This record gives sequence, C-alpha cells and structure tokens, in this order.
Amino acid sequence: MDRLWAWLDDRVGLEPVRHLMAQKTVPRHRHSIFYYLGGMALFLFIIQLGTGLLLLLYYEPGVSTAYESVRRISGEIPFGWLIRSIHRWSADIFIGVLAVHMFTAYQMKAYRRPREVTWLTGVALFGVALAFGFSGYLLPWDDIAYFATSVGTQVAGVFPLVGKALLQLMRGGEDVTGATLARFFALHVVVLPFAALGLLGLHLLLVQRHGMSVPPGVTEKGRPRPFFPDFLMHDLVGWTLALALLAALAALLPAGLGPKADPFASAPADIKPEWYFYAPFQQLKMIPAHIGPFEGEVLGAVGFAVLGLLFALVPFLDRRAAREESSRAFSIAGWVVFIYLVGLTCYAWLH
Amino acid sequence: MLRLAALTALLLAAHSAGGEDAPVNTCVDCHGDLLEEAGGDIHRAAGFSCVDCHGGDPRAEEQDRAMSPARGYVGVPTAMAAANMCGHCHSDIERMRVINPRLPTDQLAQYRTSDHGKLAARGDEKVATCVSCHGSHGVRPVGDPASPAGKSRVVETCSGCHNPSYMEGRSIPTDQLPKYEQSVHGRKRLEERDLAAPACNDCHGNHGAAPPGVSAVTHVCGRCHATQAELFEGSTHASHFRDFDAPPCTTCHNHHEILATSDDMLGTGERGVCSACHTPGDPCDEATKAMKAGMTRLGERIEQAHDALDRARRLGMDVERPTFELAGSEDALVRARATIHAFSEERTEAVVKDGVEIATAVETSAESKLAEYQYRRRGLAVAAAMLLLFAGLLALRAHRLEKRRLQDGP
Repeated sequence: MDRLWAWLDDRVGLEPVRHLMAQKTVPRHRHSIFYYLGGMALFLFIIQLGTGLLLLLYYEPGVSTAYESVRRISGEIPFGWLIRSIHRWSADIFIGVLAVHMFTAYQMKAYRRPREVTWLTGVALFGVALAFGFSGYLLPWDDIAYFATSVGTQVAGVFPLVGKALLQLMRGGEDVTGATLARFFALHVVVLPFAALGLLGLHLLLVQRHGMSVPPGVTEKGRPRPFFPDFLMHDLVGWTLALALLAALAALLPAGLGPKADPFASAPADIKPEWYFYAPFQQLKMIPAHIGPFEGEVLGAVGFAVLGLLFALVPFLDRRAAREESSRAFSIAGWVVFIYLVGLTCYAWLH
Repeated sequence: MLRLAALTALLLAAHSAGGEDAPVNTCVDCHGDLLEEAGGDIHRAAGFSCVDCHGGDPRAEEQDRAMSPARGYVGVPTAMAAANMCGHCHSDIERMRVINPRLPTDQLAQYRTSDHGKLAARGDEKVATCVSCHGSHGVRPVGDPASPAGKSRVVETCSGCHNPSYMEGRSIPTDQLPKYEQSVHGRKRLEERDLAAPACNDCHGNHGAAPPGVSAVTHVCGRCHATQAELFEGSTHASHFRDFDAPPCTTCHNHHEILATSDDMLGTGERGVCSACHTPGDPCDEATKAMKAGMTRLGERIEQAHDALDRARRLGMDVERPTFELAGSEDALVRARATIHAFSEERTEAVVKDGVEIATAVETSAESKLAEYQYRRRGLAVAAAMLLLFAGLLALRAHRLEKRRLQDGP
C-alpha cells in the first residue's frame, strides 16, 4: 500500500492530500454529533448523482415518452425499480437532512464571522436541493406530477412584478405542457447539477479553510478528533445505515407511478406537493383571500420569500453572535419558525 | 326639380314610417292566446300563418265570413284529415325542397301504412296523428329537446296515449310503459338519461309505427345487436322458430320487459328460458350446460386473474400491462355470451378457450410479479443484514480507535 501511495505521489503529487488528512480535525463537545449531518447530506447527494445518472440511461423526456420510459424503468429494466426508488427516497431524506443540518448550524451560530460565505453557499445549496425536488417531481409525467406542478408554478406566478414573467419562464407558455417538461428536464439534469457541484465545491473549500465552527459558550472536551480515520469511520457507520434504510424503503415502499398526465382530466382530489413544500402549501391554503388591502395568496408567497431572505442574511443581522456573544433572540426566533414550519407540515400531512 | 325631389323623399319617408305591409290576420282578434302557444313554432318562424293550415279568410272582419267553408275554412281537422293537412306541404317534394331540403317527404306515405294511419283512415278520431306527437301551434324541430317527438320526450309522448286510461275499450295491451321502465333499455334511457338507449320509436318506427312482425323482430333487434342477430340467423334455431311461428329474440328476452341477461338464462333450470321448448337432459339441454360451464369457468379465471393483479398492485408492483391484457379475456367472455346465439357448443368453447388462455397468462404474469416482490424482500433482507454487519464492524472499529485515543491522552 505504501509503495502504491509512493508511486501515485511521485506522479500525481498526493502529499498535500496526506497533509490535509493528517491536519484536519473535528472539535469535540456536547453538540459535535451535528457535525455528521454535513457528511450525511454529501453522501446522499452522491447517491442522487449516481442513481440519477443510471436513470438518465433509460429516461426519455417528452410528453409521449416520459411516462412510458418511467414505466419501463420501474417494470422492465432489471433493478430499475430499485434505482428509481432509491433516487426518490434519497431525495426526500437528502432534503430532510439538509434542513436539519441548516437548523443545527443556525442554532450553533455557525454563520458568524468568518463563515458568512459558507452559510450563504449552504443556503443556496438548500435552494438548489428544493429546485431539484420540484423539477424532478414533474419528470414521470403522471397525473399527480402534472397537477402538482401546475399548482406549484401557479404559486410562483402570484409574486408581484415578476410573477407573470416567472410563470412564463417556468412553464414555457401559459400552461404546463411538453415545453415545461423539457425545461424542467434541462434544469434537473444540467443546470442544477452544475450549480450544486459549484456551490458544494465552494462550501467544502470554505469548511476546510475555516474549519468546523464551535458554538459560542460551548467548552471543548479535550483534544479535537482527527478527521481521518476517526471521524470518517463514524461517518461511514452512518452512511452504511443510511444505505440500509434506503434499500429497505425502496423494497417495502417502491416509488409509485399514477395514471399518465392528462391536461383535460380534472385534478386528483388529494393533490399535494412533496412533503418539503407542505408548509408553504398549507400556509397558502389557510390564509384568508384578503388581508387588508392585500391578496392573501400574494401575501403568503411574499411572506415565505422574505422569511427565506432573512434566513440567508442572518449572519449580517445577528451582530451579537458576530461578537461571540449569546444571541438568545435569534435562537428563540429560530425555534419559533422551526416549530411553525414543522407544525404546518404535520397539519398538511394529516389532512 | 328640387321641389319634385323633396316631394318624392317626403312620400318615401311617409311609406317607411308606416312599415311594410303586414298581412292582415283577423284570426288573432279572437284566438290571441294561440299566438302565445305558437311562440317557438317552426312554421310561424318560417312565415306561415293560421290560414295556411285552417283555411278561411284572415282579412274578413266578421267571423262568419272569416270562418266560412266557402272561403276554404277547414277548422280543426281530425283523423286522416289532420294527417292530410300536414301532408299537403310535407309530402310536396318541390315545396319542401325550397323550405327544408333535408327533411324527408314520405311521412304521410309511412303514416298510411302504420297502425295509427290505418285506424285514422277508418275514421278513428282518437288515434294519433301528426299533431299528437309533434304538437299543433308550438311545433318544434325534432332535434329540439322541448319537442314531444324529440329523443328526450318520445317515451313520455307515446305513453301519453298508450296507457290504460286513454286506451280504455281497446284490445291492445297498455302495460308497455311499466314493462319498459323495468327493462335494461328503459333504465338506461329513463334513469341514466342515455339517449342512445332505444325508445319506443327505435323498434316500432316513427311515422310508420307498428308492432314488428315475427319475421321482422331479428332485423329490429339486429340493428343494435348485429352480432347476436347474425349468429341466430345462421343457427338451426332460426328455422325452428319460423316453423313454430315464434318471434326470435323476444321469445327468450321478452319485448318491452327486456331484462338484464345472465348465464342462468341458459338451459332448462329455474331461470332457464330453454324450458319453453326443451326438456331437461335432452341433447340441447346438455349442450347449453356445457356452454354455461365454459362461461362460468372463464368468469372464474378472470376473477382469479383480477385477484392476483390486485394483490400485486397493492404491493406496489407495476401490473398495468397485464391489467390491459386481461381486457382481452373479459372481451372473450362478452363474445362467448354473444356466441351462444349460434347455439353451437364448439363455437362457444373456442371463444371460451381463447379467454381462458389470456386469463391464465395474465394470472401467471401477476404471480411472477408477486414472486418478484418476494425476491426483492429476500434480497433486501440479505443486503440489510450485510450492511448492518458492516456498520456494526465499523462502529466497533471506531469505538476501539476512540478508546485508544483517550488512553493516549491529550
């Protein structure tokens, strides 16, 4: 092994990698378990890329081919059902892990100086993950996908000033058609992967540059843990368990496929978006038609956009954390928003 | 010159102010209420007036003169006279070509051949004439849903006369409507509002309405049930029925009370319709037993296939293709039920065999999906066990490493 390493080092120059691996450490304290979430998200993203590439071998975008190709993947291609189901389930878990990763990073004040850009790339990555989910949902071209996309893009259309243009841009016309499918496909397999890889590269680079953040007021327990092999071995345990969970979900609850999309059919009664859009979906359902001089739907959509913007800009708003001081107001606000979003999601799930 | 032009303009203006010369119609002075009734009347819309049907002099101020037979007044004609009155225009090919070239012109000729027409010719004043079905002053096109002769109202119109009250003293049956209401046709038409389902006129004709004769029954039913009619005409039963002067179709299925068919109608059993001519155990009874057994077998195989497909579907397996293929088997069952009209055991069995083969293939396909599901679960169990073992080993290794680090100290 040493000879192989020496051979490769001689030709590729692996010494900086060895140095990085030897030097990289992870702080040890009572919240260090949350450091595994980033690695878990990265693992699930790699699963997404791998299974996505395999699906791409057989998926055929187009109104007359998309549904049929997905049916073929699920029913005829050997292990196609497994690959598609893992892609579907790992997307759900990926976004869930990302959400928890962001929430814990928020509560641990990991956004404070000098990690503001790391935070921003993380928020952008979460946005890209949601866009992955939204665009991927339409690709099977079944009835739920079609009508959920109709409703989802319609929400984008209510934004003041840019709404109409955004709706046209997303749909490629007035309605959800083959043009929408083509756009969503291009977005899902070209634009978003490039954006995700770029943002992820920058995010990881900045994590290496600044190291892991220790929350203010938290005392470290002894010497930091070496990343390699100690931390990575724990990561591997989590990844292996995640893989087992994905296999179980894929086998017991394989990704379904409804009837083919029919624009002339009436929308299914229980139409819902993916779980990670339940909160805004439920908010828009519950909001009154008019609130004062404003339309409720517009206010709800704009409210969520403002909430996202505030979340992204928190490193610049939380001045106390920047001074390494306790900022309880932001912690409490974070919990309030978290409980509100989880509450809305649970409500939508149950109704 | 200018004065002449001004005078001409003045005269023209005075003429226009008085409007066009509307035809004088003194009938409405007394019969104004009929104008209301004739609001949507197709004839009025086409420019026809009272006098075109009733004759008389609409310019006369006095009733005697206006309604004088000498001036062509015919009053309210009844029986054949009423039909002739309508036929005066509607049988005139050249006139109808101008007014509505799409309208047939043989209504009167057909009416004369109908039971209604024959009775009318004999002076029966209660019998249906044109106005009985189409109305008199509010005649609407047959395509108009409000027309009593239209598809949506024809049953109501016929039963307006064909009921015990109106037909009192006549020898014809009057239970057609209650029987029709119980029939598959009536339920479709009256309960499901399916206008494609046959109504009275679809079997009896319109203007030439009459009960179909024995020889015509197959043709009447065969207009919709073509396959069954063709098979029956090619069977040995066709000549037997003719020999016994028994009407085909209706002998087994009734006429107005045509109930939903079932396989139990085959044979000489409790609900069997063959017992009218056959005895239990005769060769024909044995043949119908075999046909019925074949259809029962096919029905059971279809049920089994459905059951297997449902089980596979509930487990998340893709069974759309076999589900589609099973439609072929269900179609075979329908064809087998039609084929019994050929009264050939071999022909029915051939169709049943086709259906059973499809249903068996579908069931095999569904079972293979269920087997695949079990294979997936076994594969999952092995994969999960291996992954958990690997995770356990890694966790053990990580724990030892952690312990060693702690022993090494800060």
